[in-house]
Amino acid sequence: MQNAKDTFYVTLQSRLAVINPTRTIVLRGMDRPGMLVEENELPSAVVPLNSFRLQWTGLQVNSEGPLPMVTMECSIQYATDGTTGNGGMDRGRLLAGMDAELASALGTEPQMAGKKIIQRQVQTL
Amino acid sequence: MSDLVNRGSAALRAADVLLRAMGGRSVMLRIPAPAAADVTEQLGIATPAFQDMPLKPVVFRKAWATVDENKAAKWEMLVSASAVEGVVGSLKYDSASALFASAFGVLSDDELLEIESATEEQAFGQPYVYRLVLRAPLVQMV
Repeated sequence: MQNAKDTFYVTLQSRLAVINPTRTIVLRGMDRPGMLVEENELPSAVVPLNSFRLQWTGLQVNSEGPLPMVTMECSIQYATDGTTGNGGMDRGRLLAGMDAELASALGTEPQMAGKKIIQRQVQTL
Repeated sequence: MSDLVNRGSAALRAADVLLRAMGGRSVMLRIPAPAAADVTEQLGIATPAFQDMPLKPVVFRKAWATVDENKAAKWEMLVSASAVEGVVGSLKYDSASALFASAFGVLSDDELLEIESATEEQAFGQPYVYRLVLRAPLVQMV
């Protein structure tokens, strides 16, 4: 499942980088798109703001079918303090912007390639 | 102006003497190497190298930790500004705050303590001591 986790992160990060190239974070001197997987970073009590933090929170295995079906759950957390120059009064708007970016990245096609193939088979029948 | 600089450096030297007189000891500041340009570290495949830089003299304000219920134990450590300036200069950091922000923790008696906050005390516009609040290591579970 590690490959699935890696692919999900890299895909989502590249989509977000296209949607809003200015959303970046600096981690250990490296400027990169504003998304990280918490389990792959140095443990810290500090919550990075204005970036998306991925946590893998659940794993289920369904072995009733001919092949086991593994389902993973990913939690995406993000927060902002607003702009310092505005006294933080714009934090609601900035959070709404992050909501829109994430919704756009998750809604970008294709979401379920397997489902499309099934639909195509049905149409040929 | 030069009078102010002299007074500032006098405070720095006085702080050094006081820290040594109070049993100034040595700790190591653990600093991770800059992140790699590729995604291997972001995916947890590669891990960064760490560099331990000595900080001396330092003093823990209390011999025991402050422990609140359901919270990590905390220590307060005073570090000589001359020691911090030495590390900032040798590693080419912009400032002490940038150094402490990028540090992974403080190694004290083989225990890695996380830096919760770092503040400086100034005299005549020049820092003479840094106050670090350290906390017990986080449980590294995912």
